[in-house]
Amino acid sequence: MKVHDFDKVVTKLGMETRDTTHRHAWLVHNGVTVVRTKRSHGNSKFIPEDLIRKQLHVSKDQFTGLHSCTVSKDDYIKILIEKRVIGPQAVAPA
Amino acid sequence: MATAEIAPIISGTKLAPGVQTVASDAELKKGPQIAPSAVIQLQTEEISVELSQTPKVTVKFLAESPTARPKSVLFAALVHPKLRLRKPIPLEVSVQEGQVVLTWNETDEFACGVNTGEALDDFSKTVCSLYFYLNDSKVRLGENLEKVRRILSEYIELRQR
Repeated sequence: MKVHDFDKVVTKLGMETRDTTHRHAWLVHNGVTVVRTKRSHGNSKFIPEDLIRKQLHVSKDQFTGLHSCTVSKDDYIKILIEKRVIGPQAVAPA
Repeated sequence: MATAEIAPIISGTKLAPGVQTVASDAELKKGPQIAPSAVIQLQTEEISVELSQTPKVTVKFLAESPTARPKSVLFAALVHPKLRLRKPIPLEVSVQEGQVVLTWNETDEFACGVNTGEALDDFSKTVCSLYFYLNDSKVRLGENLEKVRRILSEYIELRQR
């Protein structure tokens, strides 16, 4: 997985980032942090796609959709709700 | 590949084959007596074999070259002045695209490096950052990350001064 693809997904999902020894990214939904991931700094650094997908709770197809624009942020939120990663406390009141 | 060096012979005496015993005074008068060498007889037999078909030779190749790298390690090398480990963290070790990848399956956390040492160092930094973020009182966590925080707290705690 390329650094560019990782950063594209992070930007698309509007994840909060913090640069320390790694680039940490957090998805905050309705004030609740629901997902976290990270990558090492440097363009040549290895990023294990399977483990990033696991942290983001998406399948291979869904992840491909995330960085190729066929899966939107709203779609991703629905995926997280279906997988109960986003619980009732993080779902906005109707 | 293992190598071995042959120790040099500093001094030596060529002895006759067999068993030598210390002679008594009476025997010395008779002169030295050396036990006869044991006779080894080799029996050979010729067997004619006619091959009715071409013999099959199976060659097995190793799927991966032998390595001293373990498949799992217990991590106990947390390097942070404010944190200490309560118990070692079990990590799976794998190699992907020439990089050593350490995975903590319980929390879906991972670290990478060009070798195991670098990956362990990376894991130490990763897990420290994660601990501080998840234990930040200003941060509200979803169920999934709250579970990760609880697991982390089982393994890591703040140092008491």
